Order: sequence, then structure tokens, then C-alpha cells
Amino acid sequence: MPSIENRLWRFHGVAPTAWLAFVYLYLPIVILVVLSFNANKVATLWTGFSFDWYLRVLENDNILRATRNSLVVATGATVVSTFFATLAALAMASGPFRGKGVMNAMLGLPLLVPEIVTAVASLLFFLALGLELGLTTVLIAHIVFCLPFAYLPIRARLEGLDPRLAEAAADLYASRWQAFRRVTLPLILPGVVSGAMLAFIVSLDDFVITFFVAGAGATTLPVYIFGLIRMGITPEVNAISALLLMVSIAFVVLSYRVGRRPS
Amino acid sequence: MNGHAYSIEIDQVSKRFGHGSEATLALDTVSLNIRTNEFFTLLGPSGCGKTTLLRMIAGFEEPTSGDIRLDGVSLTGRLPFQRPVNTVFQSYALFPHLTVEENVAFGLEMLGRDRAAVREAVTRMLALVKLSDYARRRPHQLSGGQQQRVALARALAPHPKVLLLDESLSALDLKLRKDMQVELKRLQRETGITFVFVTHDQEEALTMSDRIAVMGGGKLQQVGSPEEIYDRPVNRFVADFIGETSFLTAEARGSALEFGAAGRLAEGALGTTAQGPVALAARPERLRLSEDGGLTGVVSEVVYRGADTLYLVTLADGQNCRVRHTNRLGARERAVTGDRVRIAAEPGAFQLLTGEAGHA
Repeated sequence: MPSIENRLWRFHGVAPTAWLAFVYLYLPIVILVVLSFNANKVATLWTGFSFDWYLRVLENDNILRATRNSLVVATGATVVSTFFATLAALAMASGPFRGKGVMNAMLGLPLLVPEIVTAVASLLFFLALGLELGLTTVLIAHIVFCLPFAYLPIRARLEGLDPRLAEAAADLYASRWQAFRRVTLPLILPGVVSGAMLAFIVSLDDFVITFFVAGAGATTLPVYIFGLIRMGITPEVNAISALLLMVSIAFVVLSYRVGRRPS
Repeated sequence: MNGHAYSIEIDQVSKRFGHGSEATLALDTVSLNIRTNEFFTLLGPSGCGKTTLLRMIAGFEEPTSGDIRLDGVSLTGRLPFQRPVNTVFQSYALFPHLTVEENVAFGLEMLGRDRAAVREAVTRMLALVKLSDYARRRPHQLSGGQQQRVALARALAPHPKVLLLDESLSALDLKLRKDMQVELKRLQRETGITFVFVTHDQEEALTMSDRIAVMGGGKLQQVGSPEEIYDRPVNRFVADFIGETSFLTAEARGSALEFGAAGRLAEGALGTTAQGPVALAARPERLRLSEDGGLTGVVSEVVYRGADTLYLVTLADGQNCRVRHTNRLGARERAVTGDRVRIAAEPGAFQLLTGEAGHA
């Protein structure tokens, strides 16, 4: 989309305000990354450059275990939630039906429910069912809260899809499945990938819900970092956070680029 | 299945959208037969039900009541991919992620034809629509006219029994539209496929069709050849929708038409033997300004239009009438605004409109 210059949208002081906002948003993160290379044991006292903390992170079995847990949960939650999100989006795009508005609202509602409420509710639910808290309960909880994140980009993509395309496929002798496979799916794929990446990153990041429903041995990376911080902020925490940040940025950039791919 | 005179039979088809008080009747007991290898046009203003009818032939909508038959076999309950009918959509609906040749091959591949047959057919179709050089392009790299031809090739490639065209030319500019009209007609002759064309453009319908069905308000108004539709419209709707028309009322007496204070036309200006008050329609080119004309009036406006000039005349009895003359080089204007003129009519120039009580 070529951008059209619009004089009417120009206001004074936009640039300084923007800079202030960016500093406010990103300065703490920049400081965190810088301090992760600090040689000093006291995280906030700069004495010299060092990769020590990164090495120590990679040698720490507990951190590696937590990382593996995080990746397993994030991958599982992404695959399952994206699958169901795609089905939900297709159903919502299939035309008007009774209760469609309510259903659409309910699909997006988890985004608005305070996380602590979901966390407590999930914990009570698992306990009521008699499920033992562990990686499985974490995975189940993650699938649930990842759903709306996966759903929204897919739905947006489907909404921009000309319904005539599916009709054209059917008109050209494609069965329902063939039409989906050959026309609809390739066209909504950027939305699906975008939704999956969003789900992955949200799962990887989650602390509150995971903290409530994770049993012993099911520690994920954010929960582990929280545990470290209680013992004082070390540059090790900075290093883990910086690594996590890199993964997040990579995913967000990828997700954005795939989502913007022209149809 | 062959040996049927009719390709498509539309039998008392009605279509209702919505329920209860919000229901609208998009199509009201329409019956018509489309012949094999015919270029048949559904013509009418937007909302007349023509597209609904087309979508029901394609299978995107089911009739609320009535039946649609293809070569004598009912299509009821058959899904779009189970009907040997292809559609050229108004928006073309080309698959944006596929190349031109992949688009054209799509139907044949879905039918399970082998690779060689598909490739051969795609090559032939692209040559037919003169797009052989564009096989590897994607739809967004083509102009509107080229996209239109891809849509046409894609729909023709599986060699359907019937090709449905939904306002397929309306997105093109005038010059391109004229070219495509000729092209479509050629393709229809060369492929021998029954074409059902939907349009709101009466000129397009008159140029291309073997027969036209004029639709209005969900009802079939008239079916006939372009000449029949143009020269002998059966009612006010058809006469008004197609071409330019003057609507007049008169008194038919013997073979004459009496227009009260405006005078009378003696020799069989009305094609039929109806008597008494009649509602009439007349094409402006069937009337002429002439010294020996039977009607009198005053020119209220003169509209120069290049090939011809239109004279708007207020008759002496207060009715308005349009007269058109072809312009010739060096000829002077026949009349200017305010002139008193006399109007003559060709035999049969006046068409009797049914379903209306005329009054002089």
C-alpha cells in the first residue's frame, strides 16, 4: 500500500513525544542487555565486559531443563491451539448461524479475562478433576490461553478472503476438502503461521498461569527466572532474559513478515 | 442424455431469502428454457433476480421451490462440483496464489484428467484467449481485461455443458468491453457451449445474444430474440428498460390512432387490431419529423448526439414524444426549440402495451 502524504495529519511535537515513548519502552531492556555482559557479580555495578554469565547459563542444568520444559509446552500448545483455532475461524467464516456473535465474543474473551483469574480457575479445575499438577496441566492450560492468540490472525486473514474463491473452486469440480486444501488453506496460511508464532511466543513467555498449575519438576523458564530473582538479581538472570528476548524478537519479526505477505 | 432440444429448463423456480416478515422473494415462479448451443442472456436491473437465477444453475443456491434441469436431468440436490457447469465470476475470482496456467488447469485437475491432457488443454485454452505468453504470470500481474480472459479460459477448459457469465464484462472499460463482446461471441461459436450471460447492460445483451430474457422484480418479463425484445416489447417495463421509448396513450379506431387535440395517424401505425383506449410505446427512430405527419406539437428540446439528433416534442394534447433522426453530412437541423412540427410514423411503429388501460 503506497503511503499518501496527508498534511492534515501532521501535528507539532509528534517527534519528541515519540522519542520519549520509545525511550520509556526500550531503555530498561537495553540496560538489561548491556548488564548481561557485566563482569561484576553485582548486576547493577558495571566493571567490565564479559561473556561469563552466558557461559554459566549454558552450563546450568536447571536452566537447561527449564528451557526444555518451556519449549515442549510451547510447541505442544502451539500445534494444538493453532489446529483448533483454524477450525474455529473456518466455522466462523462459513456464514451466518445462530449464536455466531456470542461465539465470536467468547473466542476472544480470554484475552480480556485477567490472567490471575484464569490461573486460579485452572488450578481449582485441575484439583477438582484430581489431576496431578505437572507438565501435562501446564500444557493443557497453555493450549487454552493460546487459542485466542492463534485464532485472531487466522480469522483476520479469512475475513479478507473473497468468498467467491471457494465458490470458484467448487464450480471447478473441487470437493469441499480439495477446495480447502488447494485454495483456502494456501491463502490463509500466512494467517495460520502468524497465529502459531504468536501462540508460541505467548506460551514461552507465560508466568502467572504456569506458576499456578506447574507442579514440582514442571518448571518453565519464566518460573525459573522468578525463582532466581528472589535470591537477588544476578547477571545470570540478565543473560537468560537477554536470550529469551532474542527468541521473542525473532518470532515477532517472523510472524509480522509472514502475516504481511501479499495474498 | 443428448437429443434434448433444451440445455437448461427452468421450471417454476422461486427463491425466497430470509424468514418470516424479513423474507424477500428474489425470484417469483420463473419458467424458461435455454436451448443447446445458445447464447442466452438474462437482462435486467440490479435486484431483478438474474444473478440469483444464475447462482442456482451453478448450484451456489438452491431454489425454494421449482426445479432446474440440465439436459432433462434435475439438478436439485447436486452440489456445484457435481454439475457440468462452469462460471465466469463478476470479480473473476482467480486464485491469487496460482499462476495463469495453474488457474486454467484447476478444473481439469479436479476432474482427475492426466497430466498430458491437462497440459494440452491449458495450452489450447490460453491460445484461444490469446494469453499464451502470460502462462507463468500471477493474476495480480495482469490487467483487468487479461484477468477476464483467464477467468474465461479457466471456466471453458473443462468443456462444461453450460458456461455461466455473471456481469463478466462490467468491470472493463468501454473499449475493452466492446472487444470482449466480439471475443465472447467468437468463443461461443468455436466451442459450441451453451452460454448463459447475466447483464444489466441492454446494449451488450442486444449485440451478443441469440435470445434474451428480460427480468424485473423477480419476474420474467419477456423472452425473445433481440429483435423481438426491441421491436415488440410486451409491457412498459421491457419497453422502458430497453432502448429509448415514448409512452403515449391514444384511442384506436379502425386502423387509425387518434391522439385527441394532437391529431390522428391514419394508416396502420399500430401493429395490431386492438380497439378503444390503448397504452402505446414507440421507439424514437420509428417516428420522423415530416410535413405530411398526422400529429402536431412543439419542439421542447433538441439533443445533438453525434450519430443522430433527438427531438423532444410536446404534442398538442400535452403528451411528450421523442423523435430521432440520423445525422448526415452537411444536412441542416430539422427543427430548433420552439418550432411547431408535424410527426409521422412508420407502419407498426406503435407497440401495444398489455396489462395497462390506456386513456386518450
